[in-house]
Amino acid sequence: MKARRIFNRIGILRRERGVSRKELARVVGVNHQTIGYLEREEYNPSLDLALKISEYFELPVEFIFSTKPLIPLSQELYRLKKGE
Amino acid sequence: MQKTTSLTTRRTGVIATYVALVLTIVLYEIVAFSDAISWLLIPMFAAFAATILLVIFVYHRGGIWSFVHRKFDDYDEREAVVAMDALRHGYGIFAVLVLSCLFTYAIFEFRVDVVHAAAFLILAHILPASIIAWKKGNYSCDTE
Repeated sequence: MKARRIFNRIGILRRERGVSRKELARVVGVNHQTIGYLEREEYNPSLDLALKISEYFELPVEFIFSTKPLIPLSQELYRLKKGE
Repeated sequence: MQKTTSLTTRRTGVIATYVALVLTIVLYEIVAFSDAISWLLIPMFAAFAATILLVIFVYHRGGIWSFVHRKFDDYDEREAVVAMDALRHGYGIFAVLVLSCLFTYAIFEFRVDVVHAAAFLILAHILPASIIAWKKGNYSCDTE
């Protein structure tokens, strides 16, 4: 059974916080190339790895990963501000 | 230090390695069956040397050899899947190739000697790495 594509915000969160792929990889315990594959959505993380990444960014796992395309963070922020 | 090569370079290297290996065997067979063609000894040894050099440059220096030969605990979750897939496919391809060759040898009453056995051993060793080299992706030996 072919796995679904899992969309994520790892790349943008990493750049936002000035974290390199190597640093993120070191913290979550994978090779930095795996982080690259995750960011390009060419590899779906295991539950354990997804949770480690969400713990590192201190964000809910459903905010970072989704089975549907994620809207840009700027758009999400604007929507939240409008809703205030 | 990360050692990476482009996909085209890797694929060219894989094809060149197998061509050199097959050429070595073919030239060996011609030399072995015909004593008059002793001048083919030099091209035969050249093809063998090319095979070894290509294995070194394509697989060892490309980082793919160490990728396939790491301890299982040293893989992360993605690398473990990639390595297991390569070994599984390599095992299947090797079994089919060797059985086909042996069947052909039996039908045509060819002899199997040390050179053929050595070629099969080289094939067994480089096949999983060839599968990884052929596939899209960046496989370095950088484990940091």
